[in-house]
Formats: sequence, C-alpha cells, structure tokens
Amino acid sequence: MVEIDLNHIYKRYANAEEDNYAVSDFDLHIKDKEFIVFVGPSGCGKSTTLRMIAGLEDITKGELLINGKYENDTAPKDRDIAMVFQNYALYPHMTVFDNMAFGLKLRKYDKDTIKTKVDHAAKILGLSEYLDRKPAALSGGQRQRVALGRAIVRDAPIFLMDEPLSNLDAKLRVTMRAEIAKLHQELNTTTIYVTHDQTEAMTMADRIVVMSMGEVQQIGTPKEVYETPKNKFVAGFIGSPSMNFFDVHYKDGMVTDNGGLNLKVPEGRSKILDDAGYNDKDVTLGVRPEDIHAEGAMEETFPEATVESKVVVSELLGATSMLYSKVDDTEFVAIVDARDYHEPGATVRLTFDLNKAHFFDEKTTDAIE
Amino acid sequence: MLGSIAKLLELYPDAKVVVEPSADPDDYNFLIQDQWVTIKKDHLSTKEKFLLSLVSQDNNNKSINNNWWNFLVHESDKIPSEKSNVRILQFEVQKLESDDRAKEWLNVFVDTFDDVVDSFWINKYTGILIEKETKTNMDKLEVQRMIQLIDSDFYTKSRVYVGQFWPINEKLPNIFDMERQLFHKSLEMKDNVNNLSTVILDFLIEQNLKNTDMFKSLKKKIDIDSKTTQMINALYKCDSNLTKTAKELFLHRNTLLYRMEKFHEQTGFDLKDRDDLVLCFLLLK
Repeated sequence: MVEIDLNHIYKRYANAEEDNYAVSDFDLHIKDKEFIVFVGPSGCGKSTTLRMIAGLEDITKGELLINGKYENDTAPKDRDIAMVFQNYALYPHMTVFDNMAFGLKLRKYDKDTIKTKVDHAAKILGLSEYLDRKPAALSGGQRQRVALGRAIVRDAPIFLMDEPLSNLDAKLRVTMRAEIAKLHQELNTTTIYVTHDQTEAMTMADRIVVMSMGEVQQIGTPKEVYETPKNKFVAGFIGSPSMNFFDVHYKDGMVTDNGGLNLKVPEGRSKILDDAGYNDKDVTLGVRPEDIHAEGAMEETFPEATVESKVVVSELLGATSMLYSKVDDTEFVAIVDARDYHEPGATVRLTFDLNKAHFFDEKTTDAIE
Repeated sequence: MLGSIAKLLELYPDAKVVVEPSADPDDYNFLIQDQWVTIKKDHLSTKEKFLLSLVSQDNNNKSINNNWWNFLVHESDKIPSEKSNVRILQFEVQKLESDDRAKEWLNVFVDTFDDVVDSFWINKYTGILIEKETKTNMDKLEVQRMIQLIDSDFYTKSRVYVGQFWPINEKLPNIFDMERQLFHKSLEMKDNVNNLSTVILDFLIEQNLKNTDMFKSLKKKIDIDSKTTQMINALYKCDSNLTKTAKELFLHRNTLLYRMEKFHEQTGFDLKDRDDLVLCFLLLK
C-alpha cells in the first residue's frame, strides 16, 4: 500500500529570481492504487513536479511524504519508484532482454531472479518473442513497451510516467493508452502520469490535476473538471474541441455581445449571476460545442437563445458534424448531429442550451458559482 | 593549501567547507585538500569558476597520461594522427557510487556512440569523450535521451556539453579552451545536455554585461513576475508570432496583447518591436 502526500510544494530553479517559481503551492494527497494525471500546456510545471517526486529535482519548499515518511532528501535510488520517460531511449547495442535487465544487473540481482522478472514483464507486455532482438529491429510501439518493461521489472509500488506516449503516432497512442490502463489494473501500482493531451487525461485518470504556469488550477475526477471547471483556463483546456468563449454583457437575464449575440439566460442560471452581483456587468460566457443545437425541438424550448448563424467551415465526422459558424462578428463551433450537416455558406438556426453554460468573472476568470 | 582555504573564506564569506559536495543547484562545489568548498553560484563569475576548477585539487589533471588530453591542454605539441573531424563531449557525473561504477558508467556511455576515438575521466566527476564525425552522429536531443536512460539505471545526475566537429590541427587546443569555458557555463543551465547554441547567449551576457549597473537596473525594471518572464520567453520562442505565443501560454490573443500593452506602459519596452523583445529576453537570461 502506498500513499503520497505533496504538501505545499514549491520549486524555484537556481538562476530564477526570488519569487519566480516553476511550481507554486502544489498540494495533493494521492491514494493507494490511484491513477493520477497531471495535465497542462508545456512549461506548466507538471514534469517538474513529477521529477521532484522521483528525486530528480530538489524540492525548494514544502514536503513530500510517502506513506507518511518525509522523503524530500531521500536519494532517487532509495525511493521505491519506477519511472518511464517522455523521450524514452534504449541501449542500441543491447538486446531487449538486456535492456530490461540492465538496471537489475547494476543492482546485483542474481541471474535467475533477473530472468524471472524480465520474462514476467515481457509476458505482460507481449514481448516474449522479441527478447533477443536489438532495438533497431523493433517497431515504435514495441520499443515503447520495452521502456515500460524496464520500469515494470523494478517491482516498484509507484509508477511515474512523463508523457510516455508523446513520440508515438496517433493510432499507436490510442492502443498504448489502453495498454497502460490495463497494465495499471494488473499491477495495481499507484501511478502518476504526466501529459499535455487532455484526451489522455480524460480517458485514463481516476483524478486529474490541471496545471497552468506552475499553479494547480483544479483537482478532480474527469467528470468534475469537465462539467464544473473552476476557471476559464480549465474550461478551455479540458474538452475537444474547446469550449466557446464569448465576452458578453449581462443585464436583466439577457447576455449580449457587440458581435450580434443576444440570448436569454434561464432563470436558475440568471439567479446565480444576480445573487453574485453580476447584473449589468461584463462576464465571459462559456458554451461547449455540444451544447449548441440545430434541432427544432431545442429552439421550441429556448426560443430566446436561438440565433441565425452562417456556416463558415463544416466538417462531417460520421455520426456528428462540426459547424464553425458566425453570427455577425461572433464566431463559435457547434457539434451537431450528422443529419444537421450544412455546407459552408449555409444559414442555420442554432440554439444555445444555456442551462449547461458556464459564466466566468471577466477579470479573475474564476467560474461564477 | 589550508591557508588557501582560509584566504578563500575571507574573500567569500558565504563559502563553506563541507564533507560532501552540496546538492543545492545554487551552489558551486570544488575540492581543495580533500575538502569540498561550496560557494553560492551567484557570487562567482564563469571566469572565476573556470579558474577554480583549474586550480582545485580534484581537477588538477597532471596525472592524466593520455595523448589526447596532453594535446588538448597544451601539454604536448604532438597532434593526434586521426584524419576525420572530431567533436569533444565533456561530461560531469554526480552521485557515482564507486570507481568501479564510474568505469561501468563510461563503458555504457561509450557503447552508445558509433565511433569513439578516446574516452577518459579527467577527475572523479568529469570526463571526456572524443568522437569521429560520421553520417550517424547523435544530435543533442539523442544524447539527452541516452543520458536520461543511463542516469535512470545508474541513479546518477549527469550533464553533457556536446562540442562542435573540428579538424584536428594546432588550433584545436585553443578551441577546446573555449569549449571548456562553455562547458562550465552549461553546468548552471536548466537542461542537462547543452551545446554551443544553447550556452552562447548566457555565456556572452555573463562575460560582458551581467554585472554592469545598466544591465542590473534594466533587469530589475522588467523582472516583474513569473507571468511576464514566461510571456517574454514565449514570444521569443515563437518568433513574435502572437497567435502561436497565445497558444503556447494558453491565453486568448487579446489577453496576450493586453499584457504586452501593460508591459509597454510599465517599462517603456514594446514587445511587438523585435529589438525591444530581444533585449528583454537577454535581460532575463
């Protein structure tokens, strides 16, 4: 059983100014066997945080506890942690077996133990018949599996993965995503996975930590961060295609912008805005593409949240289609049923389901709740 | 030598005599009379660090009996007979457990290259690998991946400076003098594998500008907070392309423009102007 506590962790690099932190006040309790994903754009501090847990970076401030034990100063080799890196490499002159066995050999494991561990990992990863091959004779996916195998043989209760799939092509990434999820179920290791890909985060995580500019923006299950984003950053980062944002003025239950948008906010939502003191104020309106509808039934329900828009670009994706549309100067994207596909240039009536809309403070960008 | 330590402590009151080198990235370590001395990096220039590395006991390389080394450090005029161009990779490896481990580490490192002319430790922590120019030499990123792999197995913390390819002639030792200084500068950088392109700006700034009053006051003026630093670095990285920069920072383009305008008002530097942007970027180095 392994539990990890990151208590108000900070990281400042050697040459940085006094208050210029690469990671600020990172605070998280990770439960046993949990699959945690750190997600955010490049440079947001997610890999740095992971490397602090591995002991590859010093912690400037705060404490790291593993099973309640203070580990800030423990050498990486004495932390019971296995790590898979973003830019995975293998020793070109060694066979698959030797690549997987090398770390154990250095740690003076006896030959039989090494063979048992490597064979076991190879079996889990479907690499048994490739053990004699050199890396050059393997496909990208197989090489990635060897990199995973190198971590598995360590039998560590904590797995750290730093963008392990970012060098694979899109198709292989989907396959490996499923394999890693399966691996997690089989090995039951507490796993921290770093990615900039929100789809990976949404599909793999028990809980997601969304980061930006060194700060944690939100921690929650995939459903929580998708449905109730705490601020505009999380709302825009999680979800594909991204949430549409509109700079609007809210007054007496209506939102308007300068570009031609004029929508009625349902009572329940307008009450929240009124109670929070936003009447007659500028706010940011966020609407997910799937909450903009082309069906007539929706227009009947929300006649005052329907706009006549012009399709600028349209993509038919099979079951659904994406309509990149415009109302005067306001642009947005809607995901509608494939039956509601329209060619560019067409005029289409689209209804905004503002019951599912999000409102953000224009200045702080925090969600108005 | 003990007298030297005392003198040193007088000159650098923050310096400390310690049993083991400090792991703090802000510290610079060197060995005198089997004692590690630690000084805050901020208090030393690259030149001073380089000089210290030359005079400190652990880096006193007289005992190295290697033709290549003797040639590179001007101890011998005998030019090695190698015909092809070579590059010199300088490495520093921390946390090696023993001399045997150091040997193993170097063997594994050498095996990852195709055509190594020579490789050797010049002291307990630093070493050199000389590699022939071929069609398949690893680039910086590939070396970085290899180092990450080796470090993950040996639990070491390694840094490498990948030199340029040079013909072997009487000029090489002078070039190597310069590459050694660049290697020392690279030890302070965030990335663990560097080359001329990644080090040169920091190196030149430190040599010529960093400690001037003009540079210091300007730096103070623009070093507002981490968001500003990130904005300037991202603009530089994205060649001033606002859409790309906004995407990189995950900001709306208008928010980025607003921040740039605010910065202009506060500092007088217009980040839309290429020259102002480059200056701000250099000031933050």
